[in-house]
Amino acid sequence: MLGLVVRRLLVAVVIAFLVATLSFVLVHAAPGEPFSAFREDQHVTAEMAQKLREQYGLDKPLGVQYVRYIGSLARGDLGESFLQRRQVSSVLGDALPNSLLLMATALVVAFALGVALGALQAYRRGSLFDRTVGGVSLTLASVPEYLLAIALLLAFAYFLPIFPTGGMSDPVMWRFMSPMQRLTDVARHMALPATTLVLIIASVVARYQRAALLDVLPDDFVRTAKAKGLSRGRVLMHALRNALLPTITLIGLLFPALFGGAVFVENVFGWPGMGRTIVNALVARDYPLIMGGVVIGSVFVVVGGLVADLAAMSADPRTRAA
Amino acid sequence: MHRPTPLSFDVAGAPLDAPAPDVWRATPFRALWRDGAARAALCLLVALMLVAVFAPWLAPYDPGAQPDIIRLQYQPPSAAHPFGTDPYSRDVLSRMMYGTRVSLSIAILAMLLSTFIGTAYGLLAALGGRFTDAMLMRGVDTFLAIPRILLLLGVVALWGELSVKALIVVIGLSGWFAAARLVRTLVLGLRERDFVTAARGLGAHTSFIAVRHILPHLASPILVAATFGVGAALVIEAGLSFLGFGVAEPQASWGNILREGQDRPLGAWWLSVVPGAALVITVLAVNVIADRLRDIASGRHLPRG
Amino acid sequence: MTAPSPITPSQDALIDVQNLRVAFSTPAGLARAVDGVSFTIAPGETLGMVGESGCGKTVTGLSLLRLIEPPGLIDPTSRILFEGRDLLRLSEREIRRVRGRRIAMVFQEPMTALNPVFTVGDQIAEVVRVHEGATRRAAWQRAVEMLERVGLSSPADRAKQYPHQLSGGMRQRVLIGMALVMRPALLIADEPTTALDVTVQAQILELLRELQRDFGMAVLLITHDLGVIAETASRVLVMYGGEIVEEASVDELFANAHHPYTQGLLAAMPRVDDRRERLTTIPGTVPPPTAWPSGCRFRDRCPHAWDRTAREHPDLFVVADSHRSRCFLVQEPERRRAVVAEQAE
Repeated sequence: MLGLVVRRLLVAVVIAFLVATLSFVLVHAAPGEPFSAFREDQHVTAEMAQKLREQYGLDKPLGVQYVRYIGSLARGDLGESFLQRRQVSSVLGDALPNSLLLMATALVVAFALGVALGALQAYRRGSLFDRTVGGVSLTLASVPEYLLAIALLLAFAYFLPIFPTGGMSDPVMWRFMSPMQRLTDVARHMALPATTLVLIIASVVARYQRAALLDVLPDDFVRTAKAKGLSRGRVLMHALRNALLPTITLIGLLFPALFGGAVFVENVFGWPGMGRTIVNALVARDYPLIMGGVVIGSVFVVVGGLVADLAAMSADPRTRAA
Repeated sequence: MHRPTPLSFDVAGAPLDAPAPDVWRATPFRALWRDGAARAALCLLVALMLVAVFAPWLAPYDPGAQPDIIRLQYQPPSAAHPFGTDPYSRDVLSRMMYGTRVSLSIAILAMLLSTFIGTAYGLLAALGGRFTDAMLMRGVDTFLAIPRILLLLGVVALWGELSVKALIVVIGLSGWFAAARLVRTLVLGLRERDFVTAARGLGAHTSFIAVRHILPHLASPILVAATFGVGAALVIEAGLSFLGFGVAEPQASWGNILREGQDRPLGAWWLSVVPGAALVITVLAVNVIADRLRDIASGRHLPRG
Repeated sequence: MTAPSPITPSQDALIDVQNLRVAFSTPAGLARAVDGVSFTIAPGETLGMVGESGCGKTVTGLSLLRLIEPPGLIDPTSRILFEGRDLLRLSEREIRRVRGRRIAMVFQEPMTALNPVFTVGDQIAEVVRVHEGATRRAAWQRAVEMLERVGLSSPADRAKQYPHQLSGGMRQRVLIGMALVMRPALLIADEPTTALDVTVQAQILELLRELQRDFGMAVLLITHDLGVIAETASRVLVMYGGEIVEEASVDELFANAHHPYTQGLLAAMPRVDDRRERLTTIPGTVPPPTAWPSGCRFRDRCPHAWDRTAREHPDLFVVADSHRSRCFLVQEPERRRAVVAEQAE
């Protein structure tokens, strides 16, 4: 197992490296000099423009620039945000945990919900429950995240003002809240964005889990379990324990989509995470922040996928012992 | 041993091990027609395409016309404006119709581009020897790791505002990875089959084998993947436009209209509901068709024997 | 569930199967996999059930534990009497208390019959926990003891291992252990050695014999291999076409097989001291269970068939003491034609 883990880690590193390279290529392949559009912006003074050129070594040959770029990335230096006047890594450092909170919560809930629904569907195949949940899943899978987000916003923040319309916490009252109240406040603000993500992810997981369980149910060991005199519930657990494995792997593959969805959801709900930061940076043409966000976002997704893969490997005794 | 191959999110489900009965001969469209849901979906899509083609004749107003910004903006649906008006007093129905043109053409053309590149790349990787395969697939893995929207946003940041043609290219270029993976896996499996060995034994060149023998077997899975891909492209284009980085004003796109409704989500609800409903219904229709096609390709629609 | 009708056990049989009929509804029609099978097993006896694949023997075994699922159906007129009750009339709960505890089954493929994500110790201990409500520790203890009993070395360590870490023979021992941990009165062994190497086969059979001596359970041994029957069983049922075509004690069967099918099976067994170059086979193939031939089901492959065999369906006729054969030749022995055996130099 250790060998597999190391190999996966190496692959992840290689991919992260390639992502960074890609962003470098993109920046330099774009028309005009990198950040030239920005330099023409009225906010930028001449010294800033010169500092930029030096900082990014824009006057040096491409190869050197590339090496410097990778070097600084490795050190965690992503440059300085134009607008916010602080390190990109610092800006992202503030935003990433918020995205993480939202995505992790949504993922955990969606996984639990999806597995339960999918398993029940497989157990009661062909029943009204199965067909209803199946229909709902298919529909939800066709709804883009931003639409669902808007719908939920309209329904539960505007039409029925149960939840706040945006943000992560109440800006005015935060100072006066006790820790417990702060927790509840954040939870209230997270409810709608998280629900949006949960609904969509859970439907994908449910469809997948259903198929995986249906695949396992005819297996021999299920028959053995019945022959042992186990109750239907226990037999199902036997089967499910096996059918969970592919679903855990699925989570890893869902990470890019999860992040993509989070980008939209954060924008609709004003949740101060990576997605919103990047979009705001786009509007402001804050290139270091944009590129830094894209690279970090991708690396984050790769890491997430790696973690999920490792979880899947350790959950299966066949690969764990290997 | 139970490890069903994990399915990629975009291309979920194209059967990797099912024998591929030739789609053309199995007359899938007849089989599709028989299925109630698929029939409805097909009709809907045809209707949409007709709207797209005949928009200039069907639209009651000029989609760009702003007759009276003060008094006619944000008008709720009425007889004169069945879908209401937007912040600039433009008729939403007309904009939706013209938007159908834009959104659908972007989606379909981008998908065609993705499919073409993906198939070629996958073929190359699968038929090219182990080293080529490993290298090419590393590249695909990298791209698959990047959330599509991030990639697109990055490009938009650097290239500035994109024309519709550029959008097609960019969306197409961001969507071929899953197709490449799929094709590669399929071809790797097919490569070991006897008819390929036989062809090689008769002296056939690799590219000849690729086109003549392998491609027909890929037809159905690729068709399924491409259909799902249209839905995905539609969603991503609308999403990009929704964020403000897609189709540029004053041109209409479903995503654009959605964006305009964000200032008054409840007050101007029709600006959210109309394009939203259109998107959901269209993507649902596309997904239903793709789903049924997948069932047909794997023979599941046949009487159980 | 209606109240069970008065039980009339035959002699002191442990299990009494009466007129078992099992059919599967398939697109090709109704497949009568088991079509009127009746037999008894005495306590401690080893009954062999032999036949080609498709003759219904596995389905019979599964029926005893009511493990037949749709599209399979057990005919309501069938009865399986065991310990004073008709197994086919029990509720779901009650039959679960029989499974694994009073009647246990060992299946054919040790490779896939064990759950790959649980340790073997866990899987055996589970049986104890479920049926006796034992604590985890106590159940684990029993599991380890059982593993030792079935001949696994370092049982305490083995118990913590996963199925994929064990060889086929070891897995089969685990399955046997799992079946016998509750000391059931009847063990159904469905092709327990077929998937194993020849040397391992002998070991497993030896194990079964030994455990039977010690635990005193009855065994229903289902197999297509007459050699296994010869070594292990005391009585034999030969199945064909969903029916029993011959039943006798093992010695009697091998010495005086009556039914042409049995004779064909015996003749087909390759023997080391045989100087022939060609193996004898039974011509033809087993007809599909959706379309059993009219009359005698073996007639298309039988060298002695005559017009009566097409018109009438033979019952089980008595050949000798506890030896019956489903063949009209019992009544008309003169019809038995000389069968020319292949003699190659």
